[in-house]
Amino acid sequence: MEDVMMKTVTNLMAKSPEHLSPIGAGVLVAAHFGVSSDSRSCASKLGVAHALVLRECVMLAEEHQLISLENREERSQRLFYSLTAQGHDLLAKVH
Amino acid sequence: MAKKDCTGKSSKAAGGWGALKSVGRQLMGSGKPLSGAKTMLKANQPDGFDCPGCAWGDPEHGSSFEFCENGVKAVAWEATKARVTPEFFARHTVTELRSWTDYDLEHQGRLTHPVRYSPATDKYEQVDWETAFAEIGAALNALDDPNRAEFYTSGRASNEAAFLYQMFVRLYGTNNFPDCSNMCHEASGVALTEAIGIGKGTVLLEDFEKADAIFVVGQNPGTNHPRMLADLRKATLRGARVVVFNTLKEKGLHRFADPQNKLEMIRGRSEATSTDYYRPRLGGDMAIFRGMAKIVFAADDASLAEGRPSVLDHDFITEHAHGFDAYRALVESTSWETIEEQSGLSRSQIEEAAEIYMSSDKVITTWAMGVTQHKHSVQTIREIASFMFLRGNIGRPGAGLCPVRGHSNVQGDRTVGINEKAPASLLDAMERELGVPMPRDPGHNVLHAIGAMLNGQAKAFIGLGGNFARATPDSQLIAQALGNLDLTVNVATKLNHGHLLPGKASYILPCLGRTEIDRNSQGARQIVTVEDSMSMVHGSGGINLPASKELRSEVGIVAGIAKATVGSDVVDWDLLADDNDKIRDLIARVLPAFGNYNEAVRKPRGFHLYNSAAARDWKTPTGRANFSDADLPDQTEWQRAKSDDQTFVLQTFRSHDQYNTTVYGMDDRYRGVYGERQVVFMHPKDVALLGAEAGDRVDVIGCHDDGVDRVAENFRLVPYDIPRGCVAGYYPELNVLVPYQAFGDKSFTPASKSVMVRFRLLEK
Repeated sequence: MEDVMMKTVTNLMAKSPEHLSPIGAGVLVAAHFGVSSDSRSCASKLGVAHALVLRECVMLAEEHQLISLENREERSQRLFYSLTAQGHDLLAKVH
Repeated sequence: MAKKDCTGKSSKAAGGWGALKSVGRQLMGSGKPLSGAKTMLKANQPDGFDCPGCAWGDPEHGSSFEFCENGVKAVAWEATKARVTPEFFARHTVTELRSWTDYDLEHQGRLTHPVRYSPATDKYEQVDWETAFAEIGAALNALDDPNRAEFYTSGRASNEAAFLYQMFVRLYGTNNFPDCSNMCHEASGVALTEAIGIGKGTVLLEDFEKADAIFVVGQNPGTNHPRMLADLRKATLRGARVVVFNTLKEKGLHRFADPQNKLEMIRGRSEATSTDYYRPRLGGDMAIFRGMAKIVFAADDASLAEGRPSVLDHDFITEHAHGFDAYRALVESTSWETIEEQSGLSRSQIEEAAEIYMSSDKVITTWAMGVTQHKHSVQTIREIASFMFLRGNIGRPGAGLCPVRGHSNVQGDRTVGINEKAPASLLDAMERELGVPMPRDPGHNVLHAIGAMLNGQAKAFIGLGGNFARATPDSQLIAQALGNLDLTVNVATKLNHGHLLPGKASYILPCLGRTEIDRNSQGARQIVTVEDSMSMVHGSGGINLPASKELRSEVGIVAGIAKATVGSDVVDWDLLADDNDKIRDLIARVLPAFGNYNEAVRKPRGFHLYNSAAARDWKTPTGRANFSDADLPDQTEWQRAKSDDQTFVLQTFRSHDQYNTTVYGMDDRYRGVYGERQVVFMHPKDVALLGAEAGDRVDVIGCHDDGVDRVAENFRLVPYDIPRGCVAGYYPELNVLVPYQAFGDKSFTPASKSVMVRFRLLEK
């Protein structure tokens, strides 16, 4: 599973016209495979600081429209999100 | 509210489930990190994010804010959805807003547009940026002397904003740089510069993993630097001694439950953060260290007499130190009677602590406001340093001095030039870089600025962040003084009382917060840099979209005011405002210690600024580490107060739901106080001595004899485990009692931890 995800991240970064960062690609792929759909668990699974995933989520949503932000926990800042149709299309091309 | 309603059960340990509730739901899933992805992502991490909460070091690039209760509060505070728009100002006069609490003001949300005060309507009204800059520049240029303007800096400002600000202010013609450091660790800067030639601590975060003993003095990390608790906890778990000197019992300095440890959280366990806890009287720390030095000398004599090795590090003393013999004579001439009286500790307690010191090869001493906000703070820190010199506990792994800073970049701001008495080397370098002379006369610190406002000398106040009106001592007097100025300008993220004391012309200029993504005119993301308490410089990029499209970065706002005031002949402000890399290049040319700044700051964890004392390179006039030559004070405030059983010594401190003047909530769960901030913590026997009961209401009356009535009205008495004769209460509510003329020798730091007060019982 991990190998498949890594390959998808690599493909996504190579083919994405939006110049995704590695973490941004990781967020999309993790959402695509159902591994995580919130920033905190995604950060934990990827082993990076929550702040860095929060930033990527904001960029993916507001600049690339690849995910949709659904909710934010006030106390933890955790963002919940889902892939948009545009995000699904992008992932379908590389997986 | 009923009489005792504000108190309740205090938390068992710092951190723990209580922290978790505040931080948010802990990750409890079973998924392991994706190791391959993790490795790849770590190697390719973009710019980090520096928590705006405190200045404790961060072991990882990125941020551990989510595991620190107060870190999350700081981030969430900026990320609020609430907004203070021009329409908000249209609905409320400034006079009306002045009746609101700071808590209510700040919880209205983020400022969205620049606004200008209209005396005709008593309201702030929207103004466009360029008009604001032009009018501010014109007002500054209308002053007959640049020294009539005061340029305040909050410790929130980044290195880039602070450097640009000091460059602008010096080009304008003054060194008037009151800053928040003047109110907190100035005493550390002064004392350490005298003692070791640099006004900063000497340790790295890694040293805490190597120390055999850590002495924590006058500090409450559970509330003010929560991430430090994890390092103290690790130290006790590996067998190091953590020795605390603190007037109050603070939860975080007893036990800490790590929110990252799921098993510990589930089982409700916690681990010790200290091994030995001593509770001196307010102002008694210098006497403790003098007493411990006395024990060390006596032990050394005994050891030598028995033919055993010396207890002292004679190699260090001979090769590196100055003034040892005089210091030893001073210590030996100090009586135990005085030491015990001032410290409030017994000789045997001091002997216990000294034994820990002598049995430890590597010792770190940390301290904060409990040490720095007394009249004799500089002397106390010199005493701490001298004590550490005795066994060479400086400039080697696992040993050193560590003043723990509060605001996240207060140390960095000083490094890049926010200094009313800047070293000649900085001014020389600025002149070489800019090709124009810099003002050389010392400028105003906070207390000098207050004096200039009160006597009418100052005419303008520019605040780069902060809440000057509330943070300063004698806050009622300051409020009057600010209102008499020709110009006040506040660069801010949220509304506070400092903005509601408009002078003849007043502006509030809303800026991006540290958590917000900053893009330049080309759309490129900008990072800022900050320096933590261990002299590590980190990069930080925002993680959220700006609260309003109208916001500008602090760099952009400083550049805008500068351009309108001093023009662009010497400095191309537009160029710098558009690219923080160019500002960092400029900083590195002026301050070579920053080296290849832009490259270094983008490496994981950033880089360490050279610290001469850590390398045993003593930049002092003697070329050595200087022992103290100061005697204990003739009397501490506690000794003065004890002659009268109705007089007490007050310290101000923060609650757990607050950071500096920002009050996140009304609870102080570690001390068991809920829903109220107008409280005074007092020993139960002192409560009884006043003829009062728990929960009774009192007015707190300042005793400073200068003809000014200082009264904090309607406070509730909370019986607490605190030495008799000492009381405590929250800042900034009690700042009204702190006389601005009561300050530390040489440091001019307000003596907020030793305020003489009396009480007037109110009718039940």
